[in-house]
Amino acid sequence: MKKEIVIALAGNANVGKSVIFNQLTGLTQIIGNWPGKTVERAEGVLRFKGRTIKIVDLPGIYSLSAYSQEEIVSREFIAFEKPDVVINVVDASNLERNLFFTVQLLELHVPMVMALNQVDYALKKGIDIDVKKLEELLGIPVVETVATKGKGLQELINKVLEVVDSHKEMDVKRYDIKEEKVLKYRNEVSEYVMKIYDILLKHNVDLINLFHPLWISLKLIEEDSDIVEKLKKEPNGEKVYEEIQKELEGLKAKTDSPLATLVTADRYDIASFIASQTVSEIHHRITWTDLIDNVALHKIWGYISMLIIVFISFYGIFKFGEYFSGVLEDFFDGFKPLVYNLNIPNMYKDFLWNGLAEGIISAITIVLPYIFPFYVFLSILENTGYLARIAFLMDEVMHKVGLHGKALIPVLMGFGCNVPAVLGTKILETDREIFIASFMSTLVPCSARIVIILGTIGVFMGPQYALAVFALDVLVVYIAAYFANKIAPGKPYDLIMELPGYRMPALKPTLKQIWFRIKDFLYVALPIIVVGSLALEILKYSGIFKYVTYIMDPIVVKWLGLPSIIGIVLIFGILRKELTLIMLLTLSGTSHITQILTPRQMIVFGVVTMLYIPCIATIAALKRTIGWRKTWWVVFANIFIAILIGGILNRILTFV
Amino acid sequence: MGENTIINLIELKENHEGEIVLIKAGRAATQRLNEMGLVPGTKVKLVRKGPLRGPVELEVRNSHLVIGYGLASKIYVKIV
Ligand SMILES: Nc1nc2c(ncn2[C@@H]2O[C@H](COP(=O)(O)OP(=O)(O)OP(=O)(O)O)[C@@H](O)[C@H]2O)c(=O)[nH]1
Ligand SMILES: [Mg+2]
Repeated sequence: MKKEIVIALAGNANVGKSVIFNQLTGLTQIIGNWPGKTVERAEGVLRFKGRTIKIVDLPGIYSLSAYSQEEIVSREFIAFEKPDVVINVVDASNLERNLFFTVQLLELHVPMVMALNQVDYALKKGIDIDVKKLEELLGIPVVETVATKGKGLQELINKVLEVVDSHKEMDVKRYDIKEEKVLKYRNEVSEYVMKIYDILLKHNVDLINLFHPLWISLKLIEEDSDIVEKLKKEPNGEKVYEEIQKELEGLKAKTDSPLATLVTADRYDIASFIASQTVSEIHHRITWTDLIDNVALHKIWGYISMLIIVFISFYGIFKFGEYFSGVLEDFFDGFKPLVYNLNIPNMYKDFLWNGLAEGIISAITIVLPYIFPFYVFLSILENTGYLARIAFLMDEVMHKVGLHGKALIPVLMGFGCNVPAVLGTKILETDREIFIASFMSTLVPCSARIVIILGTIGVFMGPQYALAVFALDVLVVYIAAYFANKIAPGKPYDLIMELPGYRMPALKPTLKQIWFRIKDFLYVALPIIVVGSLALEILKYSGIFKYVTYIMDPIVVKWLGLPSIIGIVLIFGILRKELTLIMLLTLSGTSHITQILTPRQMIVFGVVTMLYIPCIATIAALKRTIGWRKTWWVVFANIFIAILIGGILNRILTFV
Repeated sequence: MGENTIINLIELKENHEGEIVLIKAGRAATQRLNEMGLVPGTKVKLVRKGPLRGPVELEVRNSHLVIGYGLASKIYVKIV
């Protein structure tokens, strides 16, 4: 009995793989209702019945011929790294399309179990599935699950263990396609599978020991470039490949479609056959999704409702934040006399209050009240399925900057945090698109920068000014992308996306996701803020500031028209954007920004902080996604844009 | 236009159905469309079109797909 087992969660995008992964491992992979959230493989461990099970969550894919970077990750893992068992997660409400991928896993003959997920949602749509029949046809165990509620997962793992324990290696030298029970291709295809298999056997090609003969033969019929490369690398490979090509001429003569299309069509026929045998639609309802989309995707109303959603969420977040910020501030203000009445030298009082207390208090009173409603709103946006609608509405607008609509989804995630946004651009097809989209993401204000703008401009000048700054940012992002597209020109790929149905966000996973994001603020940002504030106090006494400001003043004071001290806080802000505001407040010993900045300066400060440089965490994410060279380009472009626009604003605003 | 006329997918009216006869795109794009379930013989319903050169939404195999305008114009359907 194997003690350590590796299992992979594989299936189409947006079926619930990551929810299952999170449930089994207790980790927190990004979940949400749009295709393409998971972009890198994630690993976690489950201990079950005395065995150690390594679980691997993979990006969603529709087929084993992979296109974008994240799809290649999945294919490599399933086909080449060979987990002990593949859990094929499928969406019960959309069985036929999902079975197309299942068919390919069957071709690979990997040990597998099917998790028939979202049965609750399928039932709501009036779809019923005959599980027994499905098991029989596929020849693998099928377990019904509702991942969001944890239903069926225990049984799923039990089945996985059964499959592991009963698995036997098969003899690849003795394969006959006629023995396949459900994998029935048109006669010509079957015939040529066997012909290619014979050639491979005759030349003793090692490849068939690595992958199942059926899969390789089909891949060679499809002319899959990766498998062809692998074949050519074998001793004698070139010659074998030539022989296969000559053989395939015969098949080509019989059809006018590309061979890959034949194979794909056959796979879909198998999938629809299985679906027709197992799915019964109890009733066809007009779904909520259809009704909502009549408005949400409408040529005119779609855009109007998008704007309304933006406005409502903006004012909602602002009002909530403003109110609670006030409440918390009153609460904490009471503590200041406690410190200053202590019987210790003044310098220590400064350290204590400015360095420690003030940092924490501002973080809690200014940042927390805004990020909480913000994350709630973001979760709703992610989990209902609305993000995919934005991709539809904005597709054409994005084409003008060389991207398609789906590129906007990771960019929009940047409002939460730029790090997942940059990493998420991997769903795009080419390096060029990934570069432009990551660049755009860095200019999108993350929650920290949104708080800075809401907490200063919004509170002290009025929410409409904050909104104007965000509108300006949208313009900047778009123009920046326009230029990036000129620098890295190329034809944009066209959008191909599955449109998910609307879903009610599942309560527990959603709350967990919100908590996870706030936890990041409490456990990562807060310590950085405290340490940063302390470091700042120490540096203040060391007298080093005057050298720094001496260097930065020409830009900060002369060009941007800001107080000299801003130069210092901008440097610290690279660690964590919240620091800029919090340090500004501690350094000036006040929590009323109006005493340090005029309205004009406030706007320039807000805009500069919004644009000036990605924080270090984002820089690290950029490096991983687009490499150092382009990362530096992005960093310098950000600095340049911030200084340029800040300076122009400074001049324009002096006249008004 | 009567039955069996072959037209471009984007010429199909909203809420009308067609059957795919041909995809005239590059190798990779064709394969990608195939794998999303658009193979010759597949019935599709055009649910809606985006404004101007916006994408189209299709209902195919009981699920919904969004295809960019450029690609959609390379798909030919027979009216059914
Ligand atoms: N009603 C219902 N919704 C579910 C179920 N499982 C997952 N979902 C929802 O389906 C959506 C997608 O779930 P994910 O786990 O993020 O999907 P995924 O397969 O990891 O998707 P990618 O990473 O994009 O490939 C989320 O909105 C989930 O809340 C389920 O059993 N029932
Ligand atoms: Mg996932």
